[in-house]
Amino acid sequence: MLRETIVSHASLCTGCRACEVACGFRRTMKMDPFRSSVEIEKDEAEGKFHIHVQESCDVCQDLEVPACIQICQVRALSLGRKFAQ
Amino acid sequence: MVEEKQSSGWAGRLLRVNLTEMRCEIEPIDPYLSFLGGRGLSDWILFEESPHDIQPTDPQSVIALGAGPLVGMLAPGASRLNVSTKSVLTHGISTANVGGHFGAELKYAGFDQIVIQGKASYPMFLWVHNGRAEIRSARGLWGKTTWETEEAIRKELQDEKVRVACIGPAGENLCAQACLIADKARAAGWGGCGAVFGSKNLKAIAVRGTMPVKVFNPEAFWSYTIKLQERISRSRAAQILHRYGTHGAYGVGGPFGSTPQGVRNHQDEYWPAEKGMHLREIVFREKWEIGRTACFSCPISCTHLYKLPVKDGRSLIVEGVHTNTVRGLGSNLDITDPEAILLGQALINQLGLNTDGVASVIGWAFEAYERGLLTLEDTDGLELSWGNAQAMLALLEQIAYRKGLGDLLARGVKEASRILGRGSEAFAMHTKGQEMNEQTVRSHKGWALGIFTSTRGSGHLNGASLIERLGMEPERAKALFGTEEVARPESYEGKGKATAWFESFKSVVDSLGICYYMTLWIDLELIGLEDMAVLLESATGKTIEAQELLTIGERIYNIEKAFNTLHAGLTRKDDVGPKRFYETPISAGPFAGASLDLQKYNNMLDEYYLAHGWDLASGWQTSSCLDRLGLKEVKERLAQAGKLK
Repeated sequence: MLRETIVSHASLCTGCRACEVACGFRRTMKMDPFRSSVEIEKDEAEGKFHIHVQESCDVCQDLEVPACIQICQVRALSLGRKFAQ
Repeated sequence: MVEEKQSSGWAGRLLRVNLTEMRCEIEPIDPYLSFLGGRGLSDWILFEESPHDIQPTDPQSVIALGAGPLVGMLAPGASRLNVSTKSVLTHGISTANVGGHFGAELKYAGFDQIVIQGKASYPMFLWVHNGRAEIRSARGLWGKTTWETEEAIRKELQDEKVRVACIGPAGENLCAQACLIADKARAAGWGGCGAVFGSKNLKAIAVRGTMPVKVFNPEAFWSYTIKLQERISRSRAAQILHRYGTHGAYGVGGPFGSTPQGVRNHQDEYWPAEKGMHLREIVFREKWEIGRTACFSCPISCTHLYKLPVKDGRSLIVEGVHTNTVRGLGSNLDITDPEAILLGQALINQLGLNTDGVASVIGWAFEAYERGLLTLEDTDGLELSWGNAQAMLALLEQIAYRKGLGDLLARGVKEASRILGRGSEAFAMHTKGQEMNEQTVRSHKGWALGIFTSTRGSGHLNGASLIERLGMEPERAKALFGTEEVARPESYEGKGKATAWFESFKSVVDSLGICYYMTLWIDLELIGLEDMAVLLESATGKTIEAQELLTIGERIYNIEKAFNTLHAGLTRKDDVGPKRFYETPISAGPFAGASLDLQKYNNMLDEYYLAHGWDLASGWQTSSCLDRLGLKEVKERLAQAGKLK
């Protein structure tokens, strides 16, 4: 069975954190990056960003396009499919 | 103590820190909200609480920094932190402004605003987290660079997500060009605000929070934000900034290489292509770019991330190379070595210096050397000849540590030229004492007016309008500014009105906390007053019509103007700018022969004062203007000082 998931493309990420906030916002209706299923981590030594999509992500089942994908303007997040366990 | 009730948009708290008494107090933000937040709120506190007769580095001096109601929200570019201080350079007001992530984190830590007074008896840093604040020892941090400071604080607090705004050695040594650096490369650069921090023995502010910010109408706010994001993504100007950064969009003559820019201490504004080609954005991109980085919630990400190999197989990650970097350290000093530009910007960030300030004062030193007013004896053997990149790098360190000639230069170009004398004042490039690193001053008359009238001293981020470059439909130009001439660079018509309008407009932008690159400053189709009114209402529930927002912006600018009159005694003569721009035309290129005409400039200045309702002869504010704006206290203070018309 196929189920949608968030696919991250870290090389495109600019570290603006809008996805973190959008995810928390969609859950709580507040600007709340700490209730987010996405986390951006900056690698200071290499000047790169890592995108962590947590298990708690429900791919915004109630939305046509997940909030994090809607807000990301550099297309560092997209919708993919994975095999469910 | 503040009630725990949290408003929407604003975090709800103002933090007061007295470093002499080592005390932190929390107040509700509500009494100040008529000034929105950020710059407006900071300016009002500075105006109210700063005695006129103090030095900017006295303990009684006030630092007011804050993030407006849109910061930390998802509005495009809602990242900006405003830092208001009494300027070390002009003794008027300084409103430095910085992006990055510090402002958003301040909101999540539960605060909109911090007000700092007093002086600590030994180095301290302020730790702000989740509605609380404490003053901690920074003895172990004193002497460290901004990069070392951020790392040490994160280590001490055992949290890699702490955001730090700090000073480097330049701030500790009270350099006039010292700034506050956030996120290692974002600068609140203006007015020597780093020196004000240094004078208080305040090394840094660290923030971290997990407190959510409420949204008044979440669905309306979200849908309007998405609409704005789409509009920004369609904007040609935003696309250019996204693709090439400010460096590619405006630097080294702009995308077509034809935009005038400061050359050899602004002696000229034409830099031949055979020199400019060495510093084109593509040179840096192809050699060193490893990616891009954005401020909080920014769709444009105008900042390049460069990786520069240095000694022993190590590399330097350099951010913050913008159009002002390549102009200030490049054409302004006739330097064509791109690696030196990167090293220079990295040093500037580490030492906590303002790029424009040091570029200007080093340009002055190079010219003084060329004219024989400074000799090898004065420079400890350093040849300050145009194009000498090693001399530029050496002087950056000398300024920050006040060594050798650096001690003179660290006083700011106005004071340095007063001390050296012998005619060197004539080529000290500043307005009101604030050093300048500019472009298109001779060719674009409204741009010049915006720089020279700025309450910050100089700089193109207040009233200077890009309409002269963007163009404007004649009907729209006539409706807004009375004439379509406003879009012609060489015309002096309509520029006074446009400058006054943008001063008020940008006061609003800075008070809400969004970045200018999201606004109609760079593209007339981007965020305007109506958009800001919608964002503000859906975020906070506060309904303020577009025209009333502009009036609030006008109030804010008038508070700054009054601060300058009362604290620095500034008048009309301080709004005219350096003679060089009137006397020495551009030598070649598409704007060959362009210079400012003093008579026509003065006519333009008249139009500007009339647009504001200020007195033409003195440049002072008038009773009728301040009555119209409801600034009763400002009017009374000016009247008491005998400086009101």
